[in-house]
Amino acid sequence: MGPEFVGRVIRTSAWVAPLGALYVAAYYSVGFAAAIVVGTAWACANLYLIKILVEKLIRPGGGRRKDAILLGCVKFPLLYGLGYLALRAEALPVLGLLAGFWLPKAVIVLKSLGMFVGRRSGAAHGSVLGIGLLLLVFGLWLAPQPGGLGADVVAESAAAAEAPVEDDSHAGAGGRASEQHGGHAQAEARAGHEADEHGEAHGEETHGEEGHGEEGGHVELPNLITVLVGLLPESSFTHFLHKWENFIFSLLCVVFLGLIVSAATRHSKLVPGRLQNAIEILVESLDNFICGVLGPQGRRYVPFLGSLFIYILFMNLSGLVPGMKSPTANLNQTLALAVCVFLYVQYTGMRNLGIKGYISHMAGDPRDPITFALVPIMLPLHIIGELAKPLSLSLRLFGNITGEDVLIVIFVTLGIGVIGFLNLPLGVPLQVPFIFLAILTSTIQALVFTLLSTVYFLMMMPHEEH
Amino acid sequence: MEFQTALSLALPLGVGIAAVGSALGLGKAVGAAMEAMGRQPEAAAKIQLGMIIGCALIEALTIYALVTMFVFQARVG
Repeated sequence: MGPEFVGRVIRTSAWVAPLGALYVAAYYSVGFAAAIVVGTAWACANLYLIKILVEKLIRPGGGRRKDAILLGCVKFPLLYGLGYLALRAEALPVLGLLAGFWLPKAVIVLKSLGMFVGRRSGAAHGSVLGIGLLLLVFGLWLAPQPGGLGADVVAESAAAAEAPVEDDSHAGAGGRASEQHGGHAQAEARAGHEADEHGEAHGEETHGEEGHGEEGGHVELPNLITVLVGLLPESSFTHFLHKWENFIFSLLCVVFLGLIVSAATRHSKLVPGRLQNAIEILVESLDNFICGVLGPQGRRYVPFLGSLFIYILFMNLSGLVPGMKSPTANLNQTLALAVCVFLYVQYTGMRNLGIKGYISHMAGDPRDPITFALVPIMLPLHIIGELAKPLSLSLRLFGNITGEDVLIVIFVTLGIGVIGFLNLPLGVPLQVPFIFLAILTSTIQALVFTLLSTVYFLMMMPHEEH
Repeated sequence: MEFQTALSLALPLGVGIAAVGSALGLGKAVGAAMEAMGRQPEAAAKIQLGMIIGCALIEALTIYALVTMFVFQARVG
């Protein structure tokens, strides 16, 4: 743990703080989020200056006292002056500033904890374990609160269960019902006790083989979380899990992949064993594929694009496992992936071409008077084209995966309905051919997403013909 | 005609028309790929890869129509 540890801590805080601030700004208030960012920036600046100070004082050839004293005269007034101004500013709540200040300290604690716990497997696993511990603590804090996070979701689903009382024709399904009644959920939750009993009776019927989606209106097959919600409908924890089910399944996917890869690379041998061999085949074919498109300079993008492929593939395929759901069947997930790709591509463009080159690329590379005159047309056209890319990426993946999910649901329903006269909890497995189709489309869609992202990177690199 | 009737008529028609367009495009693409593979069997793997990717891009436009159907489907009742 040397001085580079401080650099790692600062880098980690530098990306955790904006993400946390974004979340806080969306759910709480912008001032709090700004305070977190300011506090973290202050603490990181403090850490960095302390590191330089210590390095200057403790050098092998005797300390450079003068430099240290100069730095001290700069650091103390300036930094603390800025800190005083930040504390006095009315727009930044003090709690947020303190939270931002303690964030790098929390990062230090977690990294050290992770390195301590994972010291047998090497320091690279330290941050992963640290983040894992953080998530565990976060989860334990959020979970067992009866009046806490799950409460509003329980009220919503109670109102949705009462919906069949109002609408005769639709038994408890569909976004339309819960959207309409979501507005007066409070009044109905308070008013209808006998409506509650009716809701229970109808709820029994609708808790059949299929879970009805609360938004979007199309049905989905039950997964582990909806089964939990069906078993324990009054617990707010299960509703909390249901609200975050896409996130939980994608997290499960990430953990599964991480475990496989860390098991394969734990004691890597020159003559690999079976698992290491399989992972090496996968990585090498992805490397060849991406470098075949981007050229040898594409090697630096292979981790991002390769991980994208493996992650999307596993998320798509996990919808076919009974009891799980593919997180990519939700537009939020695919939009998040597409936005990540979009931002990275624009950043790559700006870095490879320079800011001027990037703007000229957007304006169609004007060289002679004709192309200069065309700039007011080319610039908006290119900008809209760039914005259309994440939209098309996300919609393509979402539409394909949701489409195949709905197809499987329909055939499952058909299979159950065909022998429904027997009144047994059985069904004809009519959906099996479509599961094979789903495997094919999952793989193809993951490949297409990755290939299109690769091509977007290629178009942002300097190329001769244009 | 209430809007539910109109939607119930329009949504499947919309997806169907989009499917016709995509079937035409895909037929052309796969036909050209088959022809190219017949001319040069040793390049078949590359041609097949390009064909799969082209097909996914052509299919994407039909998928947009399908997604629009999903968006409106909740309102059909």
